Amino acid sequence: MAIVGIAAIAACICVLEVPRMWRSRQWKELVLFGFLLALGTGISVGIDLDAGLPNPMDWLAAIFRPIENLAETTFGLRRVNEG
Amino acid sequence: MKNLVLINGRQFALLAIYITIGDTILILPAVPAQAAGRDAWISALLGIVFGIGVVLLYSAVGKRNTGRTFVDYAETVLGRWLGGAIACAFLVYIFLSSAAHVREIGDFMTTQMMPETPIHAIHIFYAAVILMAAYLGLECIARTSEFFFPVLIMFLIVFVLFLVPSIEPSNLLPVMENGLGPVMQGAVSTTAYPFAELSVLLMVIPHVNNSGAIRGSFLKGALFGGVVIALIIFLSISILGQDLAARNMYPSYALAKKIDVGQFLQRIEVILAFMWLLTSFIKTSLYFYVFHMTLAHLFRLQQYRSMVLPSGVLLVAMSVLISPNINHFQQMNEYWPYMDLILGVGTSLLLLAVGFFRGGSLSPKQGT
Repeated sequence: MAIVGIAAIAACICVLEVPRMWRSRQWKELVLFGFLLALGTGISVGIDLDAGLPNPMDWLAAIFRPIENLAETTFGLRRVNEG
Repeated sequence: MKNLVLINGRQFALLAIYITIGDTILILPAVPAQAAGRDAWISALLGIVFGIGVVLLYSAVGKRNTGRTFVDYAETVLGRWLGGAIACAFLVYIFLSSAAHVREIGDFMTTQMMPETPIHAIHIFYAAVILMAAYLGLECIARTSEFFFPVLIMFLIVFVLFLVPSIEPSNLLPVMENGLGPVMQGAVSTTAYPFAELSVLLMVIPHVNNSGAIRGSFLKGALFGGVVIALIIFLSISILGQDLAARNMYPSYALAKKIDVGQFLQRIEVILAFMWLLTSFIKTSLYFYVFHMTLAHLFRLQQYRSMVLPSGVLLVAMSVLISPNINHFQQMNEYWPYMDLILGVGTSLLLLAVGFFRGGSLSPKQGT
């Protein structure tokens, strides 16, 4: 059911935006528009189906946690309420 | 894209205030309280000191690239590919920040105010307003911030005045019992959340009509916001005590529930919630607008408005995807400040340093 709703919203957005870009021949804009819409719709459908999508925040955590640890050990930072 | 949109120095200062107060008014007090305990207010004051340094850095970057946005400047200084890579990182950072702000609203509403409503519904309605703001553009966001500012100030004064009688100085003692380490740990988040996030304004600086006023407005706005944040942190610690302030997810909301004037004026925490929704709305819409500006500059688009609706769909999807539950979301507070610092302060320092060494070879007309 939710997938039908998502598809309907995506279709509405296409109807609203595509003709204007098509008429003024903004092909680059059209490609980016398609990419963003496909990504957004894909993720929405994936969430609805419980497809186990990867969480982008985990990637960020993988990058920034070592930096956090490094900063804390270098500058002797610590937390009061730890543990 | 042409820079036809212009805002004045006062509106720029107001935007700086809204970004500084933004979502931090509700989220922040717990973070330094977890790190520094009852000394969190010292962290907040240190945060203002470091924050002024950050703002001076940003306005120096803004001064060097008069008339050009952050992304154009990065591409001029570092070349198309390296500058483009930094712009891409900035783009992803801005987008994930907006998604996190939407998620903060959703989490707050579903845990504190409307527990029966599904979080997706709140996200969709909140995102719809943000999309509208981003579609209407910078001038509209700036005027909205101007329009609501007196209301914000009034609520803020009411909030602080009603809480002053319940301050218990004993909650603040002993001062600095654990030394400087925890205070500095707290200062990382009190610098990063309110001040390092001002990096979005680097994309707005070229739209200020009076470029001589940028540094002054920037400093005034950030200082005002920083004082408000420090005041809220001080009130949280001195009224709730360090334990409650650190354990509570929204200490300032718990604080507002304490307001009790003659057993008559009670439960006015919705005032705080309104203040927060307002500042957070302006912050998120500015973030989302800046996301589109970055996108347009990076891909040399002729107009950004067609991207607003599809990226809105992506925003709603991402705000649900970024964290499976509220505890996971809270854990981001451990590394998020470092991300703010590296992507805001780090890239600005890099650009300033490289720009300085390449010196006169960069004529202002070289960028697009």
